[in-house]
Amino acid sequence: MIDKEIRQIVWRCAAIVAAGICIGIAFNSASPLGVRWSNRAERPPANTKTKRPAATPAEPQAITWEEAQQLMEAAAAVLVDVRPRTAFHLGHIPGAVSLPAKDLMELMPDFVAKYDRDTLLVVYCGDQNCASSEQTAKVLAEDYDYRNVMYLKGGFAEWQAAQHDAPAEPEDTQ
Amino acid sequence: MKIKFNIKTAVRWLLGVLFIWAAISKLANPTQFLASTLAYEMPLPDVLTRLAAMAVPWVELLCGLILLANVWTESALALSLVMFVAFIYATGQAWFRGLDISCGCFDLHMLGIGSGSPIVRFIESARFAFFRNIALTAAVVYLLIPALRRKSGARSAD
Repeated sequence: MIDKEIRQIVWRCAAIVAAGICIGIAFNSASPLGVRWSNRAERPPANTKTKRPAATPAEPQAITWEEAQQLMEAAAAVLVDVRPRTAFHLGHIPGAVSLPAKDLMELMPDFVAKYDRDTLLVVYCGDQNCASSEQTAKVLAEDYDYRNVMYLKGGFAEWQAAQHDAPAEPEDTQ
Repeated sequence: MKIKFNIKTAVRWLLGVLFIWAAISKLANPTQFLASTLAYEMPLPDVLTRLAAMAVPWVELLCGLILLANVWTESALALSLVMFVAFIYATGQAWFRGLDISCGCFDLHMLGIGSGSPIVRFIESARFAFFRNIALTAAVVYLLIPALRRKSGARSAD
């Protein structure tokens, strides 16, 4: 009798999960804010030895994706992804370079060799609640003398959300 | 309809409301929830993580509604137990590995609370979420075990 009870509970659990999956997939397909089933095509990094377009303060400032996009389009900024390497490989803003915050000390010699101190850096982490973008931006500015450092306030999530409103991008011909 | 109010009812309602709040927080911004999920760096295929990002909020919503309605309660509690164990593993491994990520569990902005202060960051951290999930698991076990005993006892009496 108890077996029957347990079986009933398990079947009901399965029904709830199945309903959740079906509604979730249907809602996701219908919603303009829904998530994609796969990553966007990755693109190689943009110009890496670029100069800032205008004077920016030494104190890292928070910017929006819209502002970062303008800097990217002007080829004047390097996006720095400070999330863990695995998260970077699962998906990142096209053109971004990976510099995991927890491995910063180890990776900085190579980074400094590649990007000069005048390069405009836009640092981002996962979303608006993570602190590593702001912290890393400060470290880059204060400890490594990068003069033009900003951080993307909404992080990777802000970029993802912006993709839903943006028109389809042309294929990269590089 | 007479509602018998006791501690167990209050805990069941609390779990129901928390599930609904968590679900609405995630459904309001699916991409942010996906980003939060990916940031946990769980050893799961990418497509499974994305499927979880689509389905988990709805499973939470259904569990919340079922707990409030008090039908199929044992099933909703059993499913909640499975989810909380998974959440404990996810937040625990994130905390252990020192990942600087936000939990992605509840949207505090819905309560008018900003995300800038250190206290809010701590509340949204994986470490806090780990202990919160343990407390919620204890609440689920507190409701589930007596419910199962009651049910098996009622059957035995038949």
